[in-house]
Amino acid sequence: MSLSDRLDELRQGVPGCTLVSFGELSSGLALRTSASKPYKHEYLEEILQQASVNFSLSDFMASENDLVVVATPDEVRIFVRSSAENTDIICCVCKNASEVPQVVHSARQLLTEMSRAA
Amino acid sequence: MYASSNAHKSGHSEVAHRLRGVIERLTTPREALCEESGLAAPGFKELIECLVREIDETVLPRRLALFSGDDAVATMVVSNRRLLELDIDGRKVGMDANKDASPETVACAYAHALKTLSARSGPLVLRMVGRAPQALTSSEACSARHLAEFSETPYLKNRLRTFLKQFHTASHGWIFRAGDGDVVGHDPDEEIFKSLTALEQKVRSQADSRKGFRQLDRPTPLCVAFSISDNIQAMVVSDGNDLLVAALSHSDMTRALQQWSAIYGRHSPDTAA
Repeated sequence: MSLSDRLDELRQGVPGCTLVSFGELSSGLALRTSASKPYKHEYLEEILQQASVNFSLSDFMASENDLVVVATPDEVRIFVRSSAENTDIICCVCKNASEVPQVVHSARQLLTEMSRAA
Repeated sequence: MYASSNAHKSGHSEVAHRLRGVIERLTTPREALCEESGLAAPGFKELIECLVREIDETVLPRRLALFSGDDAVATMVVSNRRLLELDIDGRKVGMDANKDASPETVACAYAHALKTLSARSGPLVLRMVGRAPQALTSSEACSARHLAEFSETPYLKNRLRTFLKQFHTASHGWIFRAGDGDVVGHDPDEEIFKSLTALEQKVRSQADSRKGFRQLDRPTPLCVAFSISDNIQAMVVSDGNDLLVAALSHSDMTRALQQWSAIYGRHSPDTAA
């Protein structure tokens, strides 16, 4: 199964999840994205910038934290960072905070499988 | 039962009266509106109330002006229930070129300019001065609701305080920094409070160093959560004016995020236009 298929699977497996993107924190690039509706490039860019800014804040407080959640008035953005490759990240956009645990579980699983396969 | 039914009727008749007033004004010819004596605004609060009402009731493009005595000190273009343009003393109030002209940014800039004008001009009178060009559009527009939100710092404080009240008992400490510089804290645990203090300083220094970053500097309300120890999560809440940094148990975080969304979410009853 390709990475794109895995991202589709993750998104479709969580009700209310509208976008899942695999990206790189250091470059701010979204490498693969699965979305339920069209999105703008700037939107993805903003999401990755937000992930980068907030992980740097999180690193300032505690090392090895792999999860940051950002709620906005429109959505909840969940950022899960790879424990093996600190710059690999999965960004998920959901409707509600109640979806956080399920998204985090699936994203961690995917990142672990990716690091094993590398 | 009787009293409740009467209250219901009275509520209905009040709504009907307001609706009749809105429809009458919407159908009043432009010339008649121009002849109206104007709405007096002795202070900033009244000025915003007048403006919000006019903006909200204006569909076709109109020009409004603010008078200080006989002098027009500001002119505005309002259309489609949006404030499209604001000129003060002949100069257009514009956005910082580096900033995204989101409705929130625009509302914040217009509210700030109007507050400054109100402070230096004293009592103002709002008058309709004529029709604006039909084709006029602007990317720097904001709704009445946004203008009201960004004009009323206590409103934003109240929202953040409402949120704070909801999780206060479950929290392991918090620091609230209001936009005007007031700082209030709750420190049941000294070590956690030290961490929160460091985090609050880091958030502010990060915001300062990011100034000019187009998307991230929008005064959009945000609630950020991440772990700071095995049992504790930090929460950073900002709304463009005020900042709240708090510590919660992991188990309370999802609930806190839901409470934040209920207050700040665009679809929640509290914030619906």
